[in-house]
Amino acid sequence: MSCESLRILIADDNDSDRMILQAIVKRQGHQVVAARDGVEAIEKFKECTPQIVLMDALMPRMDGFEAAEVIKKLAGEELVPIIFLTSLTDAESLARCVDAGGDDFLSKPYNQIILQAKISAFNRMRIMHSTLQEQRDQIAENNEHLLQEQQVAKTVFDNVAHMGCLHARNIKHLLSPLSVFNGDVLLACQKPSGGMHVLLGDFTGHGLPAAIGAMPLAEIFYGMTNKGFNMTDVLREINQKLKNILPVGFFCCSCMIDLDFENQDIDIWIGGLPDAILYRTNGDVVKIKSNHLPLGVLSTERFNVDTYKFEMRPGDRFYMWSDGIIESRNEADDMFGESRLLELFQQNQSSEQLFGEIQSAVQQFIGDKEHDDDLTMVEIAMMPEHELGLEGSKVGKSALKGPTNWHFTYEMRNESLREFNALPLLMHVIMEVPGLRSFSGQVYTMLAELMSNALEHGVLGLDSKMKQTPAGFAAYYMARAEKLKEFNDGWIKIMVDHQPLEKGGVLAVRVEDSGEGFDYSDFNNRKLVRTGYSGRGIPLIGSLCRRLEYLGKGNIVEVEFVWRPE
Amino acid sequence: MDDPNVTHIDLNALEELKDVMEDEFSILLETYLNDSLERIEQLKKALAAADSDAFSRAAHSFKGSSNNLGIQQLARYCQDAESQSKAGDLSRGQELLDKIENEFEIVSQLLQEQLGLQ
Amino acid sequence: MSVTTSKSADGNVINIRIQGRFDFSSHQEFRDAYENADDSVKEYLIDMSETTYLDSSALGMLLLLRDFAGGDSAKVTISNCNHDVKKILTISNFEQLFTIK
Repeated sequence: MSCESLRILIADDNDSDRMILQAIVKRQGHQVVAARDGVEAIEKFKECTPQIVLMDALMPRMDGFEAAEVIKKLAGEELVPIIFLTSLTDAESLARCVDAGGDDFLSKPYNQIILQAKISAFNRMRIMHSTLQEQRDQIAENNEHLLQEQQVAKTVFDNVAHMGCLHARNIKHLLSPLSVFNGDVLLACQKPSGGMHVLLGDFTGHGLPAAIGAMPLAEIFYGMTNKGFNMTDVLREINQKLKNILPVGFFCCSCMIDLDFENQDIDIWIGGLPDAILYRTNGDVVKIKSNHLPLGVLSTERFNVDTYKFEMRPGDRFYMWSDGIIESRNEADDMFGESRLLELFQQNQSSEQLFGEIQSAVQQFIGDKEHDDDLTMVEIAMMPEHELGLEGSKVGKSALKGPTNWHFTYEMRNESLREFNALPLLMHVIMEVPGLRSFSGQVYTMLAELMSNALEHGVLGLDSKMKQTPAGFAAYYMARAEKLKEFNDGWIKIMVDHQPLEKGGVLAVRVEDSGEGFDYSDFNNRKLVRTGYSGRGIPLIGSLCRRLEYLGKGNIVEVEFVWRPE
Repeated sequence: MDDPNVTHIDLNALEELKDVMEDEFSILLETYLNDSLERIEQLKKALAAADSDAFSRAAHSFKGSSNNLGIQQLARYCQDAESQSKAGDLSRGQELLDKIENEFEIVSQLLQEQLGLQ
Repeated sequence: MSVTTSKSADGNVINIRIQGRFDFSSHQEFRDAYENADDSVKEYLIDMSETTYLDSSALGMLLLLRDFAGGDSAKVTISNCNHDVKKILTISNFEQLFTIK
């Protein structure tokens, strides 16, 4: 029966009583610490930290009531049950015991069974109490830890997110300070070639899971925009990243715009957010419906980057928001709703005031009700770019200074030629030239065609004349596959050279292969004719480049691509 | 006034104590006897000083220790002494003290016998 | 890269949808798509809304389709091209041979 062995303090001035109690308690397997009065009881308590105290009420020097109060104080948050040993029976005395912190009474003559039951009951209570205490402390500690982590996460996120230009004069926005934890993200960044990208995102869920995707999203948004990638590339990359890292069911409803101040137009991609609105100075309200799935849902192959393009005159304003605005509720639990929002556009007198009007209408609607802090909204106006107030603050402009004057040679041999696609690597190096990114499609086509010519006609020695008939076309590619498998002695050398011009630059590419070459006299005399289904690559390159020339025995080709910023 | 069902010593209770105390049973009895003599001295002093509080406290303690050993009649007298004096009334103090002393004589006799049997 | 086909209710129009990169690696799949269609097909719709890239061999493949469909009398429409794809088609003057939407 005897459970765990406890240290029990017995305080009683009456020797025979103390002896009896001590004997009973010891017999039940516990250790006894004995005291003869209140003063001694406190000393022994400090010294031995007993778990349960059995104490006589009336004792010389210091009585049990006083000692109990001191002991309870010493015990602090720990529960040390005090059982009063008393033959006092009047209500007043019993009340004094309780007031002093007594937890129970035991009357004389002592009954072994009752004593045992009380000790084990209080021991259970004591253990439960300390478990609760531990759990409470653990929870408090965890909570503090979590808050700390959130603070760190928020700081990191702020550092990433605030690189942008949300402070530009054409942007008004509303965003909760802890928005990263309600999953709302608002990013804006100037493009190196002029213009601006703005992205509003609303991640599913709340708390850390919602915040986790915001970091890579912001990184990609700023990184790629700074490097001159266009909006569709940025969206594709963000989508792919989110798709890869977020668990199924987590995604980001988003709206991204590409604002062109020079041509005065706006390109809009919207997936999963409420209708955005283009508000024209003449009062026209153009609703732009979400026509895509949110970011992070579709695989890259299925991801669609179609955008809406609108002319945007100075003073025209574009509005986008997370569902928090439309879904905000008043005391009666009604939703603010789209019709109330549209009414504000209709009633608006001065578009300059509209943002404030929407904000106060929503606040007024919600009333004093505690709001959920996810009222995220942004207004972007068209104005001349030099009035944005961003002069000199162009994001990380110094970091943009990529190399513009360089040359490299890259040679691929044998199995590398067979197994490795060098294009992404080459593109990566070439696209470091600031501003050249806008021409990535053309540069890619040029390199891809040159490389495949060098491989197919040069290294593998395939004759494009094969492609004159449909059957030949198929045979050509079968032969290509076979020869590629077999060859083990060949190379392609690619030399790329870039020199800056006052605006833009010249990208020169020379591709040399280990093949036999061909008689290019006709070609250089511009007499090359397209035959059948082939011969389209070279004219394609030719139309992109300033110069296209064959050299040597026909196994060397040189092209020059001149580009100027848009 | 004396309850016929109340005995000098509840032998069953004493038997139980013998079991609990094992080797220390005789020491317990000796301790009780010595303590009790002290309580009687305290009662006498308190009565002489007409200190009802001290009288009541001593009676209370004496009652408790007697109860614990199953010494019923003596505990009963102590109880009477305690409750009367607690109300500040010492009018029957001497009478009760005499009863307590007489009863203690009997009880010591009986306990001495118990010790002898050990 | 993948090629999927579907037909209009009357079976006269075949829709060929090309996802991802359209280059030499898809020639067999692309050819199967139109050669395996039955004789009722009179019109070809090439849906490039999900075509990310087009190279010169793909141009050749489009010409193969055009010849298969009747050469100058062929009804082949290329639709929903992205910027890069459209540029390549334009440079090659393909709008003279195909309807490009």
